[in-house]
Amino acid sequence: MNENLTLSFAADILHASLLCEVDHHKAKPLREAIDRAVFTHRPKVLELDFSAVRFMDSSAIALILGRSALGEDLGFAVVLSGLTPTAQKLLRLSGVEGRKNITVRHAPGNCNPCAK
Amino acid sequence: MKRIENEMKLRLPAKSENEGAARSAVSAFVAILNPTVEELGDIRLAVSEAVTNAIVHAYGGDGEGLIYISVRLYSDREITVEISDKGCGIEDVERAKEPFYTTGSGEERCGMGFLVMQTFTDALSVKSKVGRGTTVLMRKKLHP
Repeated sequence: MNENLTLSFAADILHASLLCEVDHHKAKPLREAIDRAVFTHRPKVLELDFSAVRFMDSSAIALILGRSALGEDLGFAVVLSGLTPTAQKLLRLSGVEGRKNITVRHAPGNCNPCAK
Repeated sequence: MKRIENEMKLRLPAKSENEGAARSAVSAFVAILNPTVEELGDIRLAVSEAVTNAIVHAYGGDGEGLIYISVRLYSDREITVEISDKGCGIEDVERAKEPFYTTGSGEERCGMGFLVMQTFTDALSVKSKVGRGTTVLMRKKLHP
């Protein structure tokens, strides 16, 4: 149980809605909870929803890259949604968008993890 | 000639739960100058990276040690944020500033700390002595 995270699973999609500022202090319990759910449900898509996140630093990038690496091992894609303009700038700086199994959803209803 | 209009000094234990307090305190103080939302976001981000570096790398993440933060607001709307520690220091500062370089502490890190500080401020300087500590100085000029 993590009060900073809501997890739901349906139609092979694990939806993880992050509910706090994502920094070094918060990242570890978040990734542990997400990974537990991944191993429980074995999704085809992990959606990391940042729409309730008011702040994130490079610890969030490390969290995303770590889940991407796990997705390569276990065979799931990672979808990122709800990113603020500053978070998107941070994402571009990191090169995360170039990862094969990561899709950034910029607007609602525009999610297609298979289209790269 | 520009002059210091206002100044804030903070001293915090190097505990990870203080990361949020550090960036909130700095952004609240800088808000005196009525920056844009983007400018304030940039400063919060740069401060978070510098404080996290001090906690994780300077002091090894065990919660021991102190972090010293000094924020200055200048008459020409430039701000400076100086973040210092008395931790282990950095052997090769130029190498540490390389994008995605990380010493790897066993945690998931991506080695973007200095890159983010450089990108989201106007100027960054890093001074460090092994065994003595590190001082990071960031400058940012706010919109007129």
